[in-house]
Amino acid sequence: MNMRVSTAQIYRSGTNGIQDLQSSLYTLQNQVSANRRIVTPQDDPVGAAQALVISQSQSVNELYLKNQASANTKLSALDSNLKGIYSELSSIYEQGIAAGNGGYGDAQRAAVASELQSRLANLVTLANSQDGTGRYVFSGVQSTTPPFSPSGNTAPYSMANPYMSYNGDDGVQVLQVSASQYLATNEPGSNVFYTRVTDSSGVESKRGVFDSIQNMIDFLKTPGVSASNPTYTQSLSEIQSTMDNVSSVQASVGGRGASLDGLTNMSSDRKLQYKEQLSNLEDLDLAKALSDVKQQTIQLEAAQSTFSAMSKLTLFSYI
Amino acid sequence: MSGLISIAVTGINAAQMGLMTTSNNISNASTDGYTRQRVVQASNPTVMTGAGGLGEGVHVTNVERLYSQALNNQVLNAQTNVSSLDMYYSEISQIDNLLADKTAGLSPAVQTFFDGIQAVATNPSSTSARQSMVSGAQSMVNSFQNIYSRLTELNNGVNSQITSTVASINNYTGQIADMNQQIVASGALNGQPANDLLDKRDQMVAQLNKLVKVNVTTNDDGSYNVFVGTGQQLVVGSKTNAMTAMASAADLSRTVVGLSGASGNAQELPESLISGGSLGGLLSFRSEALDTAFNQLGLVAANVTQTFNAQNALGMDMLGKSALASALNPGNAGFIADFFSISDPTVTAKSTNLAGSPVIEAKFDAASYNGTNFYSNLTSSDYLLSVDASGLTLKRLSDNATWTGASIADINTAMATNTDPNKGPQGFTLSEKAAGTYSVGDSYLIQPTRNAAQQFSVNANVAADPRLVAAATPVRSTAALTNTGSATVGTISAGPGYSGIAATATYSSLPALMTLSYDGTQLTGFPAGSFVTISSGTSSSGPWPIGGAATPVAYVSGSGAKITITTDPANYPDAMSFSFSGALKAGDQFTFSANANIDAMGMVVGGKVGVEDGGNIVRLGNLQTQNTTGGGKATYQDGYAAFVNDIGNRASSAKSSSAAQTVMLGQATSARDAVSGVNLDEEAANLIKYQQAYQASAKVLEIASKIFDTLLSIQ
Repeated sequence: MNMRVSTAQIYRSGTNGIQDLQSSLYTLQNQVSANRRIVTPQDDPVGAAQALVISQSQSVNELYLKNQASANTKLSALDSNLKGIYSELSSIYEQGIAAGNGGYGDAQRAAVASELQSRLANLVTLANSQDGTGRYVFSGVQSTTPPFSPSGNTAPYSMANPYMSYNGDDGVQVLQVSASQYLATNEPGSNVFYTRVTDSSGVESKRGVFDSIQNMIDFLKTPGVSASNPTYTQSLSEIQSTMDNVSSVQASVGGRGASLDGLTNMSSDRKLQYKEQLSNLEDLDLAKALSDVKQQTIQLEAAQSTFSAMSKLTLFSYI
Repeated sequence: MSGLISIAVTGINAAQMGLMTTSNNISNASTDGYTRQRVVQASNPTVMTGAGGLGEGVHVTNVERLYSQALNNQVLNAQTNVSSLDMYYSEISQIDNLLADKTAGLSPAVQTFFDGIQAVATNPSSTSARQSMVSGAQSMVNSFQNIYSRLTELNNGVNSQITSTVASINNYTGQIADMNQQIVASGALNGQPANDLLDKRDQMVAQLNKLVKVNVTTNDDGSYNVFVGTGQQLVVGSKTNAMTAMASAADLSRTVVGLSGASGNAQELPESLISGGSLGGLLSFRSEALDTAFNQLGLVAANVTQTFNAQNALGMDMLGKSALASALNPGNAGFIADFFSISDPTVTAKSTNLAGSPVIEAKFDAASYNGTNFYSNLTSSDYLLSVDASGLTLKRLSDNATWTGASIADINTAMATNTDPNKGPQGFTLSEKAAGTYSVGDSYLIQPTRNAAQQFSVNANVAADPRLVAAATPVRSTAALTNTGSATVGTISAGPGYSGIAATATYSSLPALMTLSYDGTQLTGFPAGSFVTISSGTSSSGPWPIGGAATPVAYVSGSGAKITITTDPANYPDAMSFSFSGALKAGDQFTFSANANIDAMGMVVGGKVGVEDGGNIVRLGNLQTQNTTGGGKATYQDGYAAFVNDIGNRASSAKSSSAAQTVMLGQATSARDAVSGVNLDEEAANLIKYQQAYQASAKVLEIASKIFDTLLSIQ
């Protein structure tokens, strides 16, 4: 049996059909204009939640990238500081060796001593280097404190009676550069300017390079001394040990920089991956969306013309 | 012949009634609730003659309403579901949209805050980095408050919609009762149903049903009884019971639905009894989505606050202030441990509790510590504390887990010591703010996180002076410059209770907490009264009690083993720990002290503050990706993502159910209209049919008249 259809039903189903099509066209239009598949979480609750988690991972990865860049900047600055220190130390060392020339008299040695004195002052200035924002590079984490200051002690100088006092600490400034890696971006002065030395009798002890240099200067100022004096040779060997120490610190800093490069490559890859994952989750397939728009437009036109045709059909036209 | 005329007249009359009914159908074709009518004709009784029965024409027995109760009920059922789902969907869409915003939502605000933390980690001594972190925190807090106030608007909207819906319901039930009276009266008067009144009444029921799902029964006299829920009467014949919008006894700020009985006193209706219609949709939106949204929002705020504050308390600010400095000299105040603050849990005493009942309050517990990071045990559930003859019962409303005891202290213990992982600490502790006597039937609604986001804020002192952010590790170590070993002290990890170690220091030994000396096999110099554990991988030895500075603890040089020191191994097993990297040599010394200069009176003195130390800010930043919530099982973002997922799911399932129900409604409406709806073409045909019947009967009359004339002409 055919169903009886009321006139109101005909109009209702006509308008409902048109409204449904308009509403899905509207949704499509929103998606296309936002270029997002998920406009609100209800469009894909699981995808929306996943997108939140991924976008956090993405932001955290961005932070690592940022930290890697900061670490890189800090390490290059540190590296150039260390280079300066090394070259100052090697000049001092060369001058010191030259002063041992048997032909030098007291006056010449005194001249070398006075040059060395100004070089030592340079070295102290380098040790008290500040970065672009005025923070001391070599005072551990007490970056507002100048690491080295004259102790006011009198010669001869030793660890117990130092020429310069160290006011910093062993503090290490770390940056998180990956989920599991933290990188030290500084070197405390206690690690750079102090070094282990072994004396002629084989006893190991610690020496500060400022003490060694000042002791050498004081020695060279003393009239009638000989280059074979153990104070002189010991000082020279201590300066050399410090140079070795500085270059090993430099190597460590360089190594950290190199490991950063690898990390940055990895994080950049990951950045692309997250971007792609997010895009897969959230972005609209524009080609498909546009073809849907076309299809639904045609359907809507068909529904509209059917409706208009249906509404013209009435028996009253004939009576 | 006179018979012929009278037969013709009955035909004309019947055709006329048919025409009138048809035109009535045509004119009401688009009237809501109109049921098409048709005339029911019957032949008049025959007159018996010797030749047999002769018909006497036709009469209209009644004007019939083509109505099916069963089909109408189907429409009502589908309609009430559609109304309910549409209301639910339109409300939940607002929360859905709130969460959708990629730039103004919660997630980007939290991210901005953690970006600020990393900026401080990069430059701990930069006040501008600290300022940007504090600004990030403030904007995060503002986002929480904005969403909270938006949810509050929705909640107020629900309350006022309940009130106005209840008023409309009462309006409809009143009209239905009136119609009942008129229908009964008109039936008694002429024995025929009053079709238009029946249509109107059904239309009223349909409107009422859009507001709340009702059941209808018909009495013998034709009047309706209307019920909600499981038989709660709204209309009985010509009488109504008024519905009222009233404040819930459990929470006066919540509008609920009550029903007045015969006595006139409104009784609160359990929400489970009200389903369907926009009222049902509103109530289920409130209990399923809105309450959850409040609690989840508060939960994220509370989790961030509890864990962030706990970690911040373990740091040292740029001025050198820390819990350690304060412990060394209680007069040395000014360290801000709590970076954030939030509202305490909400406790609402039932309004019917007896006057002498105690006043209950709840406080958040300090975050728990697992040796790596802090975490919170809070859940998003509400709790109900109730009193019965056997004592107190605390019930978690999300899953009805219970804790029982004779007193509040018992309940707290039951939560704190429960071995069932699902029923362990809940992140809050109850107490009696004012003592009293419990009476059976008293109850208290405890909502730990519902309003937490409302007062979520950044400490005003820190906001004014970002140097107070505790970015640094409070303890520093210094290797003696004379050490000949290569060993350095790695990161010093301060855990809960670390400042207790200061109690073992004396002012005369300040600022050092301890100086460790190595003799080749053992370390000495640990603080008297402390306990030391040496651990490496999974193996550990200790805790060794330290009698005095000379008490030795064996340590293998180069082992990298972790050294943990605490003054309270039971409560704070992870107070302070560090390890040596590199080789120790006999005679090496390491001094541990506050990471700032502290004078003999325990006061922080100028300079020598570890301003570039970012040890604690790094750990604060790590909280973003650590399992800090749900008893240490999920990150902040996991919790928030689950909430977004939940709301998205509910919205999308409401949308698809609504679509399905709309289809059902269409089908039910079609089925009903197939019986009851007017078809204009059909009426046009009827018009012709009755016109022709009228013309034919008139022809009969004309013929009768002609026959009469013929007879007359014969004379």
